[in-house]
Amino acid sequence: MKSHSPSGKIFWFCFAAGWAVLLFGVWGTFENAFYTHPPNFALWFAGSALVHDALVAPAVFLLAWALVRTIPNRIRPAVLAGLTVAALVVAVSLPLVLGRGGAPGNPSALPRNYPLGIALILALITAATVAGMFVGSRGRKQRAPSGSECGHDHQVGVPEADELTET
Amino acid sequence: MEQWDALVRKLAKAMSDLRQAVDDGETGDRRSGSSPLARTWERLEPLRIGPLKEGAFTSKLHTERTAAQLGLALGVGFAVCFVTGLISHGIQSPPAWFLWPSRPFNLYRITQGLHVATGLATIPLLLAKLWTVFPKLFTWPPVENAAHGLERLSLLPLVGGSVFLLMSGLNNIALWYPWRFFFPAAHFWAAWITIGALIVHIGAKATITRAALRRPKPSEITPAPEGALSRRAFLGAVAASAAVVTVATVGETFGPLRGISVLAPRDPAIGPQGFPVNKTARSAGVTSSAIDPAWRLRVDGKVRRALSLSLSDLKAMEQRVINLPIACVEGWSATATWEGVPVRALLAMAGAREDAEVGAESIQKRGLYRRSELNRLHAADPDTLIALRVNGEPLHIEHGFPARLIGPNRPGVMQTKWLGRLRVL
Repeated sequence: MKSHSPSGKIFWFCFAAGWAVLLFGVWGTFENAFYTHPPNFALWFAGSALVHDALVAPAVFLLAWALVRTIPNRIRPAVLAGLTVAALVVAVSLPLVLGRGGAPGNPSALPRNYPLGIALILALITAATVAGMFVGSRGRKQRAPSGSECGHDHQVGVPEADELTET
Repeated sequence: MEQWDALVRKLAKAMSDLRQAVDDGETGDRRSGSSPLARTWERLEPLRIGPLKEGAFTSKLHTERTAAQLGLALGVGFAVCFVTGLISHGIQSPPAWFLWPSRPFNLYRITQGLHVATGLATIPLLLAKLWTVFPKLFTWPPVENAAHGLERLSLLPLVGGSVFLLMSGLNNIALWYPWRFFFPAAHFWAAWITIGALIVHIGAKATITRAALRRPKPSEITPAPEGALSRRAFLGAVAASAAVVTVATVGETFGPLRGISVLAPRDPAIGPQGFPVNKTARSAGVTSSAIDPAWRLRVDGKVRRALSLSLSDLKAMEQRVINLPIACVEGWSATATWEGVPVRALLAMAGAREDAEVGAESIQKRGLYRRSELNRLHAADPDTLIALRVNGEPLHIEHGFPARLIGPNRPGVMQTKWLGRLRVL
């Protein structure tokens, strides 16, 4: 069994220093409770980890798991790369695209049509992905004839997350 | 009662196991299976189902090399954000030893532009990193020994803090506040928590990372399986995402990309008189007081003669014209041509000390940013103006009519609008 455990002087030094800095942050949060609102702060802070690890990541893995087998091997790398870029850029654009924020009476804030903006970007990514499919499948043909179907589909088990993409 | 006793006994057993494991330290896992903790995990082996199963995650991208490369990039991003964030915080709430210069005039525009642009580009990196290491969440055994347990415990503030910082920063520039805390304070203190957890993480992973970043020998390289994404292609896709995000937003501060930054939260050319507004006159509650003919700019505090100047008094003084940016903490910036009276001329007229510090106060009644401070360097800089005109016109009320502060190398929130008073400290 491979050990995952950290050890050594460097680890314990960084551990002590890191927790000192971390606890300074905790102290500052409580010291400025009027502004940081500790209960709400803690909710959003811990919620950030929980929502990612318990909802977002499993959803991504399950989605990718379901999606991957529907894509032919030949074009799969290009499609996966395209989906990765699309998902990551959409993730960043969400607060703007959802349009929940804004400053009433200030037309200079959020002046763009963000849904249109992300649509344009997705169109570009799609075009690049399609181009990548042709390049990728041609390159593969030249290198070697495709042998068997690859070994993704053997294993049964949940969540068998074999390929990527993020949302 | 019996249940309680059983629970207490179980807890006591777990505690003594843990103490034993701590005593065993690293030797515990070398004599694999011999420590009580290891024996406990062996007994719990039937619980290894779903993602806990060996080989549950089949992608060849969940490797230490992928994690190390993304981690390195992420570390650089977090370092840039932390340093530029500390600078921005230091300028706005300066500790006694911190004296922010008024030159170079563009510096804050660059540090804060970098803060926001780096933070945005780091979002794809963070999500890709979390995807890469997600299987490690289900590491078996979950806790090998004290060091391992403490290291894993420190990951909660690291993951929570990293996601929190990037998400809250992103929401802030999208002006979306679904929470109850005040963003700058929470973002600042969360940064300390996160950087602390990051230091622990670096200490835990330094050796592994260094080994994983070493260029592999040709014999160690395994090509990506047919139909799978190679490590390089995956990292390429992540880098491309960061590049797309950057190009799509950086035009809010970098003029030449204004036209293609389709996701920029601001356009430096959109707004009254050709540039954006952050606080409106209405939200500051100055729509009538700002246009009141009785408006005066008072200069008082530690002065030999206090002044009370009307708009025409100010207009009658020698005017200076200067190009300076408004550089917002939210990362956008826009240059304008300002015209007005240098603060130092007013200070000289009032007989203030040459190295005076000045509090600039707005006529707005409430708000955290109704007042800003000019340190001695900013107060003495000849380009720090009481601006009366911008881009060839009298100030629009949204830009601070009748008079606003504008100076080199200052955050936009400290370029106080609708000025009413300069108090010499």
